[in-house]
Amino acid sequence: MTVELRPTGVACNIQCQYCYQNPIRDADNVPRSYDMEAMKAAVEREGGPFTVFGGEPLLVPEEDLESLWAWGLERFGSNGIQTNGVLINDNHVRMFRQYKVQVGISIDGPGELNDVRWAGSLERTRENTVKTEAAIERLCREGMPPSLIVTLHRGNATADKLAVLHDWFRRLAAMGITSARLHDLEVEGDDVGSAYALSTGENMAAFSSFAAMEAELSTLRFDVFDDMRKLLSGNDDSSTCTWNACDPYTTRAVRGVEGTGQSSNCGRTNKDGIDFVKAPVEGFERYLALYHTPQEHGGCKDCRFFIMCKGQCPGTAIDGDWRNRSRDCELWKGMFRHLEDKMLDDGEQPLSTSPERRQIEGAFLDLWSAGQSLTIAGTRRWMSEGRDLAAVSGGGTSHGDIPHGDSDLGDG
Amino acid sequence: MADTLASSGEQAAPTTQPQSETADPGGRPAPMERLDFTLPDFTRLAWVSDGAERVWRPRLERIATAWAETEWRAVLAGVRSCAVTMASPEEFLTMGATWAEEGLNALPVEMMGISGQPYSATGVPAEAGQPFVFRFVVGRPPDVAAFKTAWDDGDQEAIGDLLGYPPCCREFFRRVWVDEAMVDTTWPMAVATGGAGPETTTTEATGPPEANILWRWMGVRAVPHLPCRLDCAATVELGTRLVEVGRRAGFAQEMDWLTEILSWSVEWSALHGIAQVKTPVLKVSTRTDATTRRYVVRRQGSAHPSEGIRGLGFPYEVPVRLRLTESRGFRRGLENAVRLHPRPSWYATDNGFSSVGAMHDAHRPVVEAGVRALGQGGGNVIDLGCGNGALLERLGAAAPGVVPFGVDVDPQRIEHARQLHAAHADNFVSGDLFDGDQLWVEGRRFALALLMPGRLLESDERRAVTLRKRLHQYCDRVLVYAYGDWLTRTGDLASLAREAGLTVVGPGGQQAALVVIDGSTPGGTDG
Repeated sequence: MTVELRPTGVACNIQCQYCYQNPIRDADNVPRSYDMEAMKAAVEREGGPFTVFGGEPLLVPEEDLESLWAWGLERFGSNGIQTNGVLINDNHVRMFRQYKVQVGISIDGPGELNDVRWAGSLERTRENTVKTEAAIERLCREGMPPSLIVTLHRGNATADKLAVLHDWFRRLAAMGITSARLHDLEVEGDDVGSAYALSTGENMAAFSSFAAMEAELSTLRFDVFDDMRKLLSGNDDSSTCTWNACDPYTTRAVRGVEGTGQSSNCGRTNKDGIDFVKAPVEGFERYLALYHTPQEHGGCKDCRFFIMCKGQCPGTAIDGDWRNRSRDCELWKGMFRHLEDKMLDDGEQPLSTSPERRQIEGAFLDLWSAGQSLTIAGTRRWMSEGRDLAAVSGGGTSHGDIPHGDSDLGDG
Repeated sequence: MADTLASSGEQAAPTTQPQSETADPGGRPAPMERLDFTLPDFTRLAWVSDGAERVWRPRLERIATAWAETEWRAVLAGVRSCAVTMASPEEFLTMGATWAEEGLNALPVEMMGISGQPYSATGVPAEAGQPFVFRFVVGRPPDVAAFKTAWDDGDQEAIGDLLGYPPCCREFFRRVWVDEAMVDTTWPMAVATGGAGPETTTTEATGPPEANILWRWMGVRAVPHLPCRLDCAATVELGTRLVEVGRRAGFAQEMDWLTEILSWSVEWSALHGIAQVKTPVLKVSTRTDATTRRYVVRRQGSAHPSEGIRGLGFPYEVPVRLRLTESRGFRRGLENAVRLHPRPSWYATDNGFSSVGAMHDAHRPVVEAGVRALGQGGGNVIDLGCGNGALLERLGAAAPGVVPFGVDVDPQRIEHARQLHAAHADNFVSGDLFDGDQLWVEGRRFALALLMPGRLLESDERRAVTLRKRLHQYCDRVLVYAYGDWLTRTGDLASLAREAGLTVVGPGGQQAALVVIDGSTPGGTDG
């Protein structure tokens, strides 16, 4: 679980072409101010620790950041930030160290591979990329290597660019980066899709190349493949939210706190451009529906990977409608097949081919019908403990605390 | 048992799912494609902002309280013979005394568990040791006795009559809820109001606030029943009288809020058994009939709350201009992408366009119509006269699961298509689209065929007939499209299609529409 503190909402210094927060910007629902005390009170209610998030959180004045992080360190023992890295300065670096701020940086590659993280003009965009790359190098030099989030698209992951991206990751690994999260592109508009979306084949080729690359990198891991392997083996207690039956009304993995103190969700499903208040009751109707709905109608019926994938992130759903499965189904199916074959070759039994799968599916249906959800590992424990629904908590670590796909921070 | 007001009405819903067919006023069927499962009952709500919640949540609570009292006071006012309400044994001690003072009788007809939801279509069975409520019928003693008899007999008509429901709505309820076993009557109501053809999945409706039942999941309604239409005159009359009863009972403020809310725009949509209701201040996720496709009902309102929010679609306040993605700076980013990750020089020119942008603009309505036609099914899609396959490429990017096939007379363009569709290179054939025997293979079906009708006009009639027969034999749907000279020549796509022996069906667009293919010649002689 991540508390995402968004003092300035989705306000940002750049204009990433694919950003899932663009609908909120288009609707002009960007807050103009924040209330420090209201935010702290809301973080207290959520139970912290928190990651300062945006938009771009380094737009928050440095004295306010310092105040927040000083309080966060005292109250929760650590802090986090997810940034594009462009604005990082000496004072920020001092604060990162002083207040134990774990830094996550979003960047899609070196030089022109990062152009999709646009800043209004090509010149400014390239200047920003240089600054972000310099910030990554500096943080590594100073012993605070950041985690990275990299989104794959036509700008950085077509066949002609993959070699450049691979080399960049090798350099990053040598610098001390140990954790990178690969995202598939979330398409928020037809024009963006036309310009940047990879075909399923290109996506498969790109993701497969990184899966193969992990073997040569001793220290750098791409968590998407770790997640998928864990899911196939049923040991998924620390897998990312996108695999864990996320409810778009409550987004268990993200407890957002806006600048006014309002509670909010992960923004990936805010296709209407509205940051809805978190619903008081969690529900899993999407997953019951996907289980029963034939694949030709946007569901997942009879898919052997369903219990691992669960239709994936509702923010990437077909037609932008969270009631459908992910539009990237073919990519994830292909990757699961790839990893499943590897496990079988290694003499392991993936859950997808195990007779146990049906029982676990049945248990998940019972849980979801009762308004509960667990990881596969948690469900196995629950089954072995007699399937007592009263014993199922909303999301404590005993049942699998869920990391968020937009932050590598504080996930244990 | 009939649907009643949100705070008190829960009913058992059947679980079998026959095909629903409702008729519009013109009598055309508007089937709702339903799947054979029903989700457990649920109702969940999310507010657009803390500010909206602060203002409207207490008002909703007061409206629900006022409505519960208005329901039985309508019996005293002579608006109806009976009312149904819920009460715990403790609440009954107070309420029963009040009813008795007013000369009303109250009889429990059912014990129920507590759903914890503001609305539940399915009654929760009472469980030993768990909190429960009684469902009471309230009325004059003879009417209560009559209600009990009707209840025991399962006589929906008599129950509805005693509760004051209009005859047209009782008939509608019997047909849709009882006979067709639907768990949500919203789509049939909307179709009856606005009309809908067989392929319609979005309908717009309006009407007086008293007949707006799309807030029932939030406990806001002016009538206790499910109207047959969103503008049913008998329902409006009943609602007007009930609101007046509420005002006389001391709930003038609550009735003002109620009427205001029911005057706002609201959208209901259904997909896979989940309904989502969007309003200017909150959205609700709740159970509905499981459908293969997305069905949408938009009720245009006459007012908008000051606590409502800007959003990118109905029923929100839509900005005139998209603040970020229509800005010049952002568009420069897209231009940079095209420049930096260029398409081959032939990408647009192969297909007769001067630029990629112009081609994308022309293809956009075709792609949108193709996506709508395919739903989420994907499948084989053939483009007859595919050029270099750019249209299929865009359709494949927009509609998951598309397997492209194409034929074109120009070998160079087909070579390019094979480059664009490397994974499906063998599906692209160079040749005359009226021959193309390699594509029309026994056992292969196409979910969709794309055809510019002018191609049929360029050919002789014998070959055109052969192609129409193949389309009929091998294709589930045929989407015709046109732009440029072909459109200006005939004036519109429907005329062009008609000239080519094809009949446009459904609400076709100016540049793309589905057509009926019956395998016959325009003159009706099967070739």
